[in-house]
Amino acid sequence: MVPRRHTIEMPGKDRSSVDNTAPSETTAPDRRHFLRTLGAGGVASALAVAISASRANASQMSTPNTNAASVGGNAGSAGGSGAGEGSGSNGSNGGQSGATPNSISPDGSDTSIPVTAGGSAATATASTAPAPATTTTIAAPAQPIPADLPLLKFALQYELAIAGTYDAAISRLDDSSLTLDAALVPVVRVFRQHHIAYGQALSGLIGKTAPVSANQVLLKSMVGPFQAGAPADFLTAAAALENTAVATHLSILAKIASTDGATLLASIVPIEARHAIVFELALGSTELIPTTGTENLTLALDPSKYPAE
Amino acid sequence: MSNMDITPSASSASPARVPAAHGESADGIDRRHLLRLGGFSIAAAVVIAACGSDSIVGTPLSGSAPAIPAAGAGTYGDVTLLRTATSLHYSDIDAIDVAMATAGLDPKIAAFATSYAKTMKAQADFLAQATTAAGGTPYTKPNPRFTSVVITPALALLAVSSSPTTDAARFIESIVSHNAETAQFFVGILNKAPLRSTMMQVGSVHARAAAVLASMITPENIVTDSQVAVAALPAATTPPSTVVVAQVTVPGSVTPTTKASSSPDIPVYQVPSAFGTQSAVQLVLGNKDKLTDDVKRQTLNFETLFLNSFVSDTAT
Repeated sequence: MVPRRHTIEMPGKDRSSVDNTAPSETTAPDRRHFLRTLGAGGVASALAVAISASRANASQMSTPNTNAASVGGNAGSAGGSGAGEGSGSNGSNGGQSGATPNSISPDGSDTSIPVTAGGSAATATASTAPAPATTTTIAAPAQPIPADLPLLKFALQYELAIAGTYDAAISRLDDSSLTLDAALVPVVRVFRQHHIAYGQALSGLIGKTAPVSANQVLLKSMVGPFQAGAPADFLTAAAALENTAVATHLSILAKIASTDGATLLASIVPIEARHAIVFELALGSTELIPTTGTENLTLALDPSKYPAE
Repeated sequence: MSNMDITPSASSASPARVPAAHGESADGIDRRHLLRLGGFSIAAAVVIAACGSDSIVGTPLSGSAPAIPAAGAGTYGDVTLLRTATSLHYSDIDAIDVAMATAGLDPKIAAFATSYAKTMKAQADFLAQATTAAGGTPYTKPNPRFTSVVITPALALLAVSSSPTTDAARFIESIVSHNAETAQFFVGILNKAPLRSTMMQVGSVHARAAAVLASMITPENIVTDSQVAVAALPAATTPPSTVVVAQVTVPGSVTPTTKASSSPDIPVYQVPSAFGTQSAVQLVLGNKDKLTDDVKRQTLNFETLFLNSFVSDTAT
């Protein structure tokens, strides 16, 4: 009888020295070797197929939001899955995988970084993959980078200061020292609530280091016409306040790298522009739309003059 | 003779660690087994994938399916978005021009729209300059897809409208709002920060114009009732928005319907929401007395421009 096994594994024995050769395995290549090779080959082939598919997707559309950004972002937020898991190692920052925080300069100059097509998956294999057929640019970072934070904190405290000016007007409406058209009274309260919502949204974007109060210097500089004066003075000041907010946010928009921050500011600006129109209509203004078709950025406040408190 | 050559020290080995046969562990799975399963599984997956067709297989259709158009040649990037935004302005200018011909249009609205069409041309020029500065070639024609898929059918419905004067005004307000929303949407996908500001310098002016038009259409609609309800909450600094939204009716949230006569006009507001939205701009157009699909009163959705409406960098 042929022994079915020559030795058995010993406690503590080095497995590498154990002879596990089956009786039938006498020459190489044997069945085990074949299976092992087949398995490794399968993995390699599957990886190649995945990379090819990812590259094909990227070649169809290389706009950042549709491939590189969204794939990386989804992978990051989901903790890494599918094609994006190659570089989506940082959960919340998955959207900026491959895009270093320095990829967008503070002055907003050219920020694009040529990489292989295929988004984050291709980025992970860029060092070993053959030369790409096409190139694209990595999307800007989704989350705020350190250079964005002072600007976003300023925007937050600015919004809360604007809400504070409306508080002053609402106090006067409550004690009847300010009289407005009845239709405008609830509108003033709504606009105040909007600005608080903007502050809350910016706070959520900034995170734990977000300021929690209005910038007092800003508040004091703006609140005067809201504390006293005729209704027309209030309307004029409120329109100017909103127009200045529009210009200020647009100036910040030109400087921040974060797409999340940009998207948030871009959702605030048109509504503040509409706020201004409401007050200008109440004033009977006829010059409602800038003839140039663009906003007047010369009204913008300089954030560096109002450091976060 | 035993089939195993047990050494003396083997007596100290746990019986569970003694392979049952051919190197298999007691639980039946060993390295060889794993290799066998893994190898065959992956190899089978690769073979199956390789056998698949390159064509996209979707839901089975009866009859002939329309061909899926391929993406346009060229690259898509910031220049694409600038060119697309420019093209949208030319589409809107042409659309306003047609809507202005509607008999009985409110003179105030007509005057404003006439003026704003000129402003839109200035905005198109502004975006064209930005395109050139970004290294691209400006696209100074209407957006082909938006005009053919959205504007033309809408104008056809406006032409048979049972309430043409108000519909024309709402149509102009809708396309201006849509232009503002598209600019806002593009901000999130532009790579270069200065271009995002450029886009919104135009987009926020569209928002202003939409507010002015809304004030002319329904002067009493400044803000929605839901916004007033939220602002009136005692703890206004931290409103439980999810609860409040569930308690109030949002006037603008009209569910699209295919029944012609049951489509009410979509309310327009000077300040429709706390944040600028990117949802489809809805507009009701058509004739309430007609029943055929091409002329009956129906709700249209003006979606913000995206992939199928982009003007590629090489499109002429």
